[in-house]
Formats: sequence, C-alpha cells, structure tokens
Amino acid sequence: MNGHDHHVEYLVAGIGTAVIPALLLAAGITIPGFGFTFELHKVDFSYNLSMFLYVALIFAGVAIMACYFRSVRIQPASRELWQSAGRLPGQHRVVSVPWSRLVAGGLLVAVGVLSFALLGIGFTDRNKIGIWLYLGGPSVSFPAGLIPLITGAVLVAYALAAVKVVVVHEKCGLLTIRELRPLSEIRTSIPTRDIRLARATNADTGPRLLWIAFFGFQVFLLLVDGLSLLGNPHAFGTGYLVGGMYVLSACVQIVSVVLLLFGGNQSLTIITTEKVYTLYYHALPRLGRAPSAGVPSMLEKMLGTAFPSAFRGDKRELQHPADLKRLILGIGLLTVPVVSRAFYVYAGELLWFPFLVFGGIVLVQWIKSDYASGGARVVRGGIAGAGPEHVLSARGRFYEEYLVNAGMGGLPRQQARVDPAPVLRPRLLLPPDHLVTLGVALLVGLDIFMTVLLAPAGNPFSPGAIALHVAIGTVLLLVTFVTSFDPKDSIDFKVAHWTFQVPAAHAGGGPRGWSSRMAGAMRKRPGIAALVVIEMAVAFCLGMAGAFALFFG
Amino acid sequence: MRIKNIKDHRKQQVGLAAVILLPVALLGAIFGTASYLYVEIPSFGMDESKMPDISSFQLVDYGELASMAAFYDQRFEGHHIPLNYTVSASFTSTNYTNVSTYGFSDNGALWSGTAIAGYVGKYLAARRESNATMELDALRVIRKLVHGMSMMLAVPNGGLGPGYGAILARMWAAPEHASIPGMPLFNDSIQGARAPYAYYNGSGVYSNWRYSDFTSLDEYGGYYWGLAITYKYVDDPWVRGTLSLMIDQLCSGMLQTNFLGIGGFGGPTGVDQKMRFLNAATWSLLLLKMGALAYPDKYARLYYHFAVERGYAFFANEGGTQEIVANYYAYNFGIDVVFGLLLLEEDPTLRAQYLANFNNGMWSFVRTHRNAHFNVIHLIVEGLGPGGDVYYERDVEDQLARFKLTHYPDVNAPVTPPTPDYRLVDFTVWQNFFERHPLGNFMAPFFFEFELDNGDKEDKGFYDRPLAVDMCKTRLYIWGGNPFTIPGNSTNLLVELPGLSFITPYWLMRGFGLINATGVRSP
Repeated sequence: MNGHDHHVEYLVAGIGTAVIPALLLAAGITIPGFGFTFELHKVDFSYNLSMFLYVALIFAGVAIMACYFRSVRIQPASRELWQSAGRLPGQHRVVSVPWSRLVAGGLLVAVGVLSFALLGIGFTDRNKIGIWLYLGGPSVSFPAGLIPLITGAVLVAYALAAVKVVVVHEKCGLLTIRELRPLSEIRTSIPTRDIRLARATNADTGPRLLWIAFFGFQVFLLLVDGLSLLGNPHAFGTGYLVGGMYVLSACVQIVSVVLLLFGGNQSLTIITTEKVYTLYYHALPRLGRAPSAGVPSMLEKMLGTAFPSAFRGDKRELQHPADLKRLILGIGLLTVPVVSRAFYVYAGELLWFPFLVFGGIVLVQWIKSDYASGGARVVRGGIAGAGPEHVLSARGRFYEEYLVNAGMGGLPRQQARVDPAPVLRPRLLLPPDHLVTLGVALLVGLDIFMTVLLAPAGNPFSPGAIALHVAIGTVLLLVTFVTSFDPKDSIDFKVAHWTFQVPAAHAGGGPRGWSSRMAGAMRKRPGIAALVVIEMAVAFCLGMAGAFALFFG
Repeated sequence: MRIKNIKDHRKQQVGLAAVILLPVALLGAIFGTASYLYVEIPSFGMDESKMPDISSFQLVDYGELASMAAFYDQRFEGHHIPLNYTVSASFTSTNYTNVSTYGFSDNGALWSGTAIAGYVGKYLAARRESNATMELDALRVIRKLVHGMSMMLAVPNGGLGPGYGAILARMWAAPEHASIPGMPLFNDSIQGARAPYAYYNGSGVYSNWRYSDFTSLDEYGGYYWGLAITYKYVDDPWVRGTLSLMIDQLCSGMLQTNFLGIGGFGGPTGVDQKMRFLNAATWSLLLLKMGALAYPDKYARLYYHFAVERGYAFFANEGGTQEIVANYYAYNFGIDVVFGLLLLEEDPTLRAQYLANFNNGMWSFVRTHRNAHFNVIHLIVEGLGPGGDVYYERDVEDQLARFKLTHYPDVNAPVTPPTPDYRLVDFTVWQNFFERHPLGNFMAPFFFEFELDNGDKEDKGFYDRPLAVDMCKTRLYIWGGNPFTIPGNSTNLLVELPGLSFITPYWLMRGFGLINATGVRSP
C-alpha cells in the first residue's frame, strides 16, 4: 500500500457498515433474542441490546470511513520479528508500554473491586451499609467504584493492546518507522529529503486533558461527601466505612489522573512538504534517569545522518524563562471551589466544577511548558537561518521538547518560518487555552450578575456579597487575560498550518520587567490583545445573558 | 503512526468535527427523545380542556363544612394520635368507638407534618375569628404533634438540639408502648412490618426505645413543612422553643453530613437534600431559612450564601411532568417544601424567584388535577384573598363538600363510580415502543417507574381526567394519591383513616381567610 493513496474501499465499507444499522434503527427493528432479562425494583425487564450493536456499528462505519484519509499498512508480525526487531546496527528500538495507563487502570480496577466488595452491590432499600441517590437506590459502591472499575478495565485493555516495539532506521534517504504489535505491523516510510520539521517531546498532553473533566466532577463530590461522613462529630457505624471508601476512591482517581497526564507519554511529529506524521509511544522509565532523557538522543539517531549539519556547529545556549502566571491562575481556580465549599463563601456548584477542570488544565500546562527548574535551558545548534538546525528546550527534570528544522524549501515562504532569534510575542493559544479563557470569563459574568440580580436590597449581606463577587471575578478576569496575552520571548517554528512555540530568552541579556514586556507586546501586537479582550468580553456577556435568562426566564 | 495530508488539513478538521459531533448528536437525540417522552406520555394529565366548568361545582354550605371539620377534628385527636403522631385505626365495629388496632404507617413524620399544618390553619382561623376556645383546641393538638415530631429526632439521636445528630425517625415508641395494639416496633412478626431490617433502638437515654429508620425524602418533606408553618405562625413559647431546638438540630446535622440523610446503621440512606443537576435546591434552602429565622447569628449568612451566592434560588424547583404516571406522591411532599419556603421567605426578590419557580414548575404540572392540597397552596402562596381566584376556591370547596358522599367518616368505603365521560388512556403505542423499538427498549430502564397500564389489569390504568374526591379510595392523605388512576374495589368499613384529607385543606383555607365559617357560597 502506498501511503500517498486514498482508498475508496474504506469509504464503501464504512458506509455499508454504518448505513445498514442506521436503517434498521430508523425502521424500529430489533434483533430477536439479542438481550437479557433482569428485575429492577420488583419489575421484570426484557432488555434488548440491538441499540448498542447498531450504535457500535455506526461508529465502526465512521471509523472505517475515516481510514480514507489515513495511510495505513497492516500485516501480521511474527514473534521472532517482535523480539529481534530494531537490534541491528543503525536501527533504533523503543519498547513502548503505556505503563502509566496500565498502572492507573490497575489502581482504578482495584479501588472499584474493593468498593463493591466492601460496600455491596445492588438496588435495595434494605442496604445497611449505604444507599446512593434515593431510598431504595443503588449501593454507595456505585459512586465509589463503578466508574473507576469500568474506566480502569478499559484503560488496562487499551494499554495492553497498545504495547508495541517501535523501530526506526534511516537508509538510502528513506526514514522507516515500524510499529510492531504482537499481531500486526505498521510500517511508514518517509523520504528524508521531504522532511521540513521533526519534533519530539514528552510535554504534549492533548486530549488527555479530558481526564481532568472526566474525573474532576466525581472526585470533588466523593471528597466532599466522604470527608463530611468522616468528619461528622456524630458519625458511627458504616458512616466511617462509606466515608473512608469515598475518600480512598477519590484519592486513587486523583493519582490515576496524575499518572495519565504526566506519565511517559511521548510523541514524535515529522512534517514533510505533503504530510504530517505523528507517532505516540511510551518509553519505559529507567531508574536513575529522567524519563525524558531519551528523546533527543532518539531524534538525533534518527536524523543525525540525514541532517548532520543540524547537530554540528556552534551550540548557543538560551534561557528557559521562568513563568508563574499559569501556576497562579491554576492554583487560584482550584482554590475557589475548595475554599468556597469549606467555608461557605463566594460561589457554588456552578463555578466549582468548571473551575476545577480549568484549574487542572492550566496547572498541567504550567508544569509541562512553563515550569523551569535549575537545569532549565534552551540549546540551539546548527547555523541559524542558513540550513538545518535543532533546538532543545529542557524545562527541568521531567519535560523537554526537541525540534529539528531541516530547512523550509518546498513550502511557500508564508507557510514556513523559524525565528532566527527569540522574539517578544504573546503566548500561542491552543484550544485548551481558549477553553479556559472563554470558560472563566463566561462563568465570572454569570456569577457576578446572578449575585447582583438575586441579592436582596436592604439585606445586610448584600453589599459584601456583591463586592466579593465583583472583586474575585475581576481578579480572575485580569489574571486570565494576563495569562492568555502573555508576552514573552520565544522562538516560533511555523510550518504550514502548524506553529510550535519554544519559550526562550537570551542568556545574560538581563530580565526585562513584565510591565515593559507587556507594553512592548501591546505596541507591537495590539490586534492580538484586542482579540483576547473581545473573546473574553463576548464570553462575559454570554454569562451575563445567562444570569438574566435565569432571572427573567 | 497518524498520518495527515497537509492539503487535506481542512477536510480532516471537518472529518474530526464530524467524528466528535456524531456521538454528541446521537446522545442528544436519545436524551431529546427521552425528554420529549417525559412530557408527552403524561401530557393527558395537564390537559386544561378536561378541567370541569366552574358551573359544575356545588355552592357549598360553609356551616356544613365547619361541622364536618369539627367531626374530623374530634376523630383525629381522639383516635389517630395515640403517640402524638399520625396513625390510622381499625375499630371493633362501625360505631367507631373501640380501637382494635392502630395502623402505624411508615409515614408518621410526613402525615404528622401535614396534620400540624392543618391545625396551624385552625389556629390562624381561631385568631382571625377571635375564637379563644378554638385557639386552645388547635394549640392543644399542635403541642401534641410537636411533641410527637420532636421525639422523631430525639429518640434516634439521644436528645434534642445541635449537640445531637440529625437522624429522623419515621415513627418511635417507648418500651411501655409495646403493648399498644398494632405497634410493630417491638414485634418482628407483625404482618407488613418492616422489621427486622428497618427498626433500631434509640440512642442515649432512649436506648431502650425503638424507632423506624430508612427515612425517605417524603418524610422529611412533610416534616420540614410542618416545622416551617408552625414556627412561623404559632407563638406559644413551648412550641417555639421546642421547634427551635429541632430546627437547630436539623440544620447543624445536615450541614455536617453535607445534606445526606443518615440511617440507624450510620451510613447514608439515599436521602440527599443538596441541589442536584440544577434542581431540587428547595430542601437545603428551606432548612437553612428555618435556621435563619430561629438562629439568625448561626444560619442567616449561610442561607444567604446558598440562596444568593450559590444561586440556589434559581434552582429551587421540585417535581416534573413524569410524576403524573410515576410516583405521584412525590408531588405531595415536593410541594410541601416549596410551600414552606414560600411561607417563610419575605424578601420580595427571593420570594418572587421562588414563586416563579413554583408557577413555572410544580404548579404547571398539577393545576389541572383537582387536588385540594395543591390548589390551597396555590391560593395561599399567591397571596390571594377571597375572590382572588374563584375557580380554585370553588374547586376546593366542591371537593371538600364531596367528602360527605363517601369519606364521612374517613373510612375505606365504596366510592362513587366515574361518570361516562371518564375514558381510560391508551398507552399501547408507548408500550410497543418500549418493548419492541430498539431505541425505546434502550431507554426503557429510564421509564421503569412509568405505570403504562391500559386498564386491562385489575386496578391498573389511568383516566383521562382527574377523579373527584368521592370517586377516589381513601388513604392516609387522599391528596398524595394519583387522581387519574382506577381506584380499585377493596373496602373495609372498620378501618378509619385520620381525616387529614379534609382537615388540612379545610383549615388552611379557613386559616388564610379563603373560606368562611358560616353561610353559603354565592354563585
């Protein structure tokens, strides 16, 4: 299979797979006997699973159709190949085991099983351990264990299926990447002369940020209920067991989220004149070595022969600028729900849960991108602006980003650009940044106007409450704006639709004050500042409109 | 390895958006269909065209209603509060003088709260009419009920006040009450009793007493309502002092458990009085509002925080259309807490919000049900005086007068058969949808409490319009029962219910000046 071709058979097969169940669903036809019977509150149910099958087939059909846009090569891999691949000279071998998913999944399964074992299973009003939601409702094991159990099982299964050996070698101007799984091999060949940019990093989070939203809501609820049960001065009997299990489940879920977000996810992106190749892998951590330490060496081994000049020449060391704004915003957003709930001040659930998610996202971004420990540095090699060069951005002990610019020939000038030196510019905003900016502005608008509209005139608490909500909301808006429109020195790599921003400042150039940097960026790029302000203003007005809709609706 | 063509970048973004939107659209379609069905299936119960014309309501004799109230009052105090909380009673003969056994229901808290609300109405009527004898009568029963209700907190927790927990009993009894006929708390062998799983010993000085546990939200609803209306309108020092302790205990305990109800085993019972899914915030608001009135220093700021800063005032909604065909009783205890909050809140901004929630929610579901309990609450919370909403005034009067036909005394007697214009609702299309259509079958568990019967099974099925009260079987509180369902044929003239179905709406109407003590309704 040639990686440059589209394959119409995927479209045909996908449409066939999706349309048939869709027609059956539309016609209201079930598959006889495809289900089971059960009893719920003494009512017998015959539950047919046709709907699940139809939906699964529709999704499968869409996934098959999506292969039309993807170039894949799949063939069975022998056991011998699996064991020996990548061990020849000139080959680079990485055993990829999603260990963080395995560990997180295992922990979640364990806490799920423990919940059901200790707290019981089922719907009954005779449950003498604890009942959830309503009298006669499910056992408290459901909130404590069901989602962890299912999620953990899926994670473990997915992680086992994703174990692979990645073999990279370069020969005769062709970079070949082979991914060997126990039953299949995907081989991708990339002409090295077409490569424009290669990037390896262990700092990308991508869709894994969704784990924060997925777990954040229930973790907070479990912690609040669990600590309330444990801290109740009149607690007795199974209250301790239920409270303890809630807290344990919440803690395990937090540990799992940390593992999923921070543990061993690495990516290699290669952009050619025509395609973008992205490989995700999970190198096993080695004791005594930073988890990220393998990234530059791998890339250098891969591309060192193709672009030797990128790794020669003078190495110019730059600073990785320390930046605490996202840390401040993240902690601030996480503090709001905790302090609000603990001391019954400021806002409620409408803000708590989104702020937990936003705060988590911002904090993860800070740790992976902005955090700079003593060893943080940016190293630039090769001849700047005159040919292949590489940039290593090491942000401390754990995270680093490595880019190799192989030259921008073949792409229109406006689609290919690398800064020859650090440039002061606002932060490059990615979708999660926009989500946080919009979300905070919307919720602050909603909260302030909800309070103003509801606050009873003449009530002694009203002036203080309005002042508090306006003050905290204003501070959050300001910090969010400053974090979004965050002028700092960086080197931007821009290729086609993709831009990679590496924070970097001249070593020994002397720190410039934030206010002067802000003023400089405002002067140079007033449009970007205006866009951030407009984005936040629109979201704030939408929140305000929501408050009015609630009040007058 | 993921491979994207740079040229196809836009197409791939569109494809990605489609892949993301597909499950969203599917879930939206499923939830949209479910939401539609939640309204559509019970829509027959909100059909205004089926409401009777006002001309069909009888012009009642207020004097006769007053004499009926006096009769029910005498029966209630004499035979239905042996331990100062509400029970039914079985008699040895139809002269209803000798009780053979009491029917200790598991809704002692709910129906005692409902009863005390009625007697607060009587207390208010006595004040309004300057009738000192009637005031003393009302206060006597109120004191008894306050005692009975206070013991529902004291027995499980060992005492009254914020120093004790907030477990609420359904009913209670001291060891010396074990011999009361029908008392189930000390006897596991009584048929229908919830022993042994639901009965516990009390705590502290009450450790030899017994109480019924697994207290449901129904119970809390009636209980909170009773506390709220009594605390607001009855100024007797003992009553207010006791209620203050109870309110403080409940507020303190519920805040400590994050508004989770706790059972006699120590764990949560499933009762959760927090706002959930932007709904049902009324419970915590009512509790804290009571606290704010009884102990402003402790709870006024907390109430403000919940109502205003958290925005709970927007989400103080109870009930849904689905309760017309599933768990109709939930309307009854849901409206109790809504009523309690509307009674206590005097700030115009917050009260207007609560009233808007009530009118857009609960009241819109039940306004066609000919339910005297709901209709009286509508008249009171709207602040309507006589003639403010004549239709509902006369509807309530007509229903109260009909008690004379089949519920006087309040025994399990044969009922008036429905007139020919009552038609059974045909659910066949929905039955087929949930049983045979893949989407319907997929959603069926979410509708498992819907009673989609066509009248082909005995006592199962819905009429297309609400039955008048004389057509309904009696129960501890008729207004908590579904007026659309086939009433059934069983009778037992020896079982007398407490008469609250008449007492509470009648005295609330009279207490709030919506009904006269004497005279005849003019057309």
